[in-house]
Amino acid sequence: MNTNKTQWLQSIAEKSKTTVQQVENILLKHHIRPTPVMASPHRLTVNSLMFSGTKVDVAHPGPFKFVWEDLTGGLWSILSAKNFRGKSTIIEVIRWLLRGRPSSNLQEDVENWIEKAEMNIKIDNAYYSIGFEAKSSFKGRLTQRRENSDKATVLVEFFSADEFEAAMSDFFLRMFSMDSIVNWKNNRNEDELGSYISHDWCSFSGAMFIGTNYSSLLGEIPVNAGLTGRMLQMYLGMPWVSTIAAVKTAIKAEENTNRVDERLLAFNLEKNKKRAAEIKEKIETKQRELKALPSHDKVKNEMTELSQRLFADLKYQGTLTKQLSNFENVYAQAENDYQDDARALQTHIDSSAAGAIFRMLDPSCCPRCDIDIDVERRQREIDTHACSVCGETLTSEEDDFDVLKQLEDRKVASKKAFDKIKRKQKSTKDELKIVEKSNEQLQLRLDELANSSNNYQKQVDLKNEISKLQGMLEEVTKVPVPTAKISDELRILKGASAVTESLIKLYQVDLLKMVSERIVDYAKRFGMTNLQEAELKGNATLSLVKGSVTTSYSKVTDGEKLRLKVATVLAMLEVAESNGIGRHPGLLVIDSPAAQEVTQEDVDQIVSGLAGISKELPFLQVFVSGVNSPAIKKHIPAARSKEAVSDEYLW
Amino acid sequence: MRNAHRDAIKILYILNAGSTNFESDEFPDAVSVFKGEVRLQAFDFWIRYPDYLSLELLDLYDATGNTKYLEAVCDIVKNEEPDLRKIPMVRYLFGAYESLADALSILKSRKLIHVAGWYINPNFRDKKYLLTKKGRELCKTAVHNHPVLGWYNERAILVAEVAGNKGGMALKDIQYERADYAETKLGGIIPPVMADVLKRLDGYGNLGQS
Repeated sequence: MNTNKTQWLQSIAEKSKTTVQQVENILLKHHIRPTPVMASPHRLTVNSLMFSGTKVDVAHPGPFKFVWEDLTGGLWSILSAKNFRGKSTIIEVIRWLLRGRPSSNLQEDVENWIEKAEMNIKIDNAYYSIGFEAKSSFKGRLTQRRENSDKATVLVEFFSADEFEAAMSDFFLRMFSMDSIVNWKNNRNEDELGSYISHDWCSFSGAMFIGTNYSSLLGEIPVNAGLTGRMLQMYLGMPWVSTIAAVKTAIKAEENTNRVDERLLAFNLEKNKKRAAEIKEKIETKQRELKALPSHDKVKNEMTELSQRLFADLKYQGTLTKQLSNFENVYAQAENDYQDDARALQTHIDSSAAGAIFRMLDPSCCPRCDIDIDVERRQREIDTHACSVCGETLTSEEDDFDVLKQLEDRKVASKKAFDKIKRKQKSTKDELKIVEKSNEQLQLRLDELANSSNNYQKQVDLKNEISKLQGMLEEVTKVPVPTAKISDELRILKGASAVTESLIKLYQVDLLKMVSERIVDYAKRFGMTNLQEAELKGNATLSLVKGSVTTSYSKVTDGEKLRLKVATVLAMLEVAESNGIGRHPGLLVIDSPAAQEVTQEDVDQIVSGLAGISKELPFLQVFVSGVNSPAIKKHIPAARSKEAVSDEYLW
Repeated sequence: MRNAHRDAIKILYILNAGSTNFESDEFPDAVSVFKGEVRLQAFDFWIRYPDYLSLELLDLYDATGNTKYLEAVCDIVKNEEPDLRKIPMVRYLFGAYESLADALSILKSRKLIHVAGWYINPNFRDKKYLLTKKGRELCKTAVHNHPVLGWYNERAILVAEVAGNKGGMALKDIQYERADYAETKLGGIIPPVMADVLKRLDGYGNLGQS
């Protein structure tokens, strides 16, 4: 029946289809330890209680001291005629010393009055003492002492309230073989991780106290999802309680982490999708820009081609220009020649005509002296062809004609030459104009290209930017693969949960059945006669059949609740005792029930019932505080009572 | 010698165009008289510088609005005359006279003209050129026989119109001023002013150039 650690690990490994090593790793990671052993009960008894101090700011200020000694198992009562006589304080001091921390029920001013407190306790067969001084500073100690001996060994010393609490928690958890129960609380913000909450002795010790808060079945443990159930299991002494708590907590934590991780992943995916779209757009824009740029090679080629052309054309332009300037010289010359020839021709024509005229008119007198020219002279002219006036040789008309022809030919020739040159000059001029214009254009285009070749750098830059962006795009579109390890981990944890739960269930069912039966019994003894059935469940809920009506703990009256609470503790103690298991210390402190819902009759019934039970469970120690009543007095003798009569204070 | 003949004809037509009717007992065959050697020279200048003549003609057109002057300039331009018949007369404007002696001799010896005049002082003779009847008739027949010589006739008439009744010195002043202005503007000696003529013709929207 007792499953040991190895078997447990193997079961989990099988269940989660993995290796024992893997399981151990995961459990170690989440601080999950096996607790296979059923706890055997340890009994706590308060032997004595003392506290002292100085009252201030009250009607009756001054030092006080409370002492209660020789306490053993059984019933004890703290009574007063009126309220506010210090009953609660006594109970609170007990609580303070046990927990290492006062509860909020202890009034602050009272807390400040107390300067010293001490409690002797017995756990099984060992004797301990817890005490502190709280005058100017706080300090205290836990000592162990031998029975009937004054020799004491200091186990722990503490010098602050925190240290006190830690010391008590440490000590009692160890003494009662309890492990702190871990719980997981999700963060209110869904995107943030939750946190572990550890419940320890401070919470557990609530099982020993019954106050006026009836919401919880088990003592004054705050109602906390799942906690009460675990407490019940722990107090029942079942094994694997803290383990299952740890496993379930780890699962919650893991799921929470996963959820948070998932949310983060989804958020990141979304972000990445957006980013990817942005980057893609940027890439496209830049690619468009790049395309719009003329390729460097293309530009270079065109430039080379154009410069070559321009060079050739400029040379040609130079040639034409030189030709033109040559033409100018030639033109002038040709024009002159032509004009000369034309003039010469004209002159000749005119002269010939004029000559002819005058030749017709023979001079009849000497032009100089007007002396007439005689016939003889005239004849001589005809013979000698010498002019009768001046003696110069006369030329004939035939020569005249030759010369005319010559001159005409010359004129025609030079005109032809001149025309040719004029034509050539014009065409050269025209050609030059065209070439000049074309060269101008070439130059402009080259300048344009030169400017655009500055775009080469731009091209390089764009290309770089694009590859950078593409790299970024790759990064961003890389989908993170959810690690299989997470699902593995969760699988193992869930496997551990299943295995451990089933182990618990093995014990739980029987135990709970037994406890349930005893609850009915005790409740009846406390006066709940119409209670027929009770079923205590693993989550510390109690369903009832009362007068053939199915109901539950939460639905009954406070008076009935009080009975059931006490009954539950007693039932647990009894079952644990008879089975040799359980962790309840066997100490019960019942503070004054409020007068509204819980009547004096209720209290009386409970007390009578307890009186009878305490004989059956000799280790049980119960402190009951309340208003004086005959019933209580009947069952709890004065020797076992601290009483304040009429207006008295208990301390 | 050829040129002397041509010059003789030219002078003959000048005398023909620029003279006024005249009768004399001393020279019974004289029909008209051309007064002044300087005047003769002035006429000759305009014959020999058609572009300068054109400027005067354009002025006449501006003054009178008579299109015949404008047409005359157009004809001159059209026939490329300034270059064709220009005969430099540089020394004339500097005081020296062109030697017209040969031409005049030819005319004298054919009894086409008489050169008269008296010596105002031993160096200066105030000359008058008398055109004879024979000379006048030759003017008519020469053109008929050698139409090419018609140019001299027409041109002389045109020059006579430009000169009007002005005396030689007056004409010379006009010519000198024109030449001086052109020289200032264009440099050189009696520079060609054809460009000016063309510009002015252009202004009338009437180039008539081929």
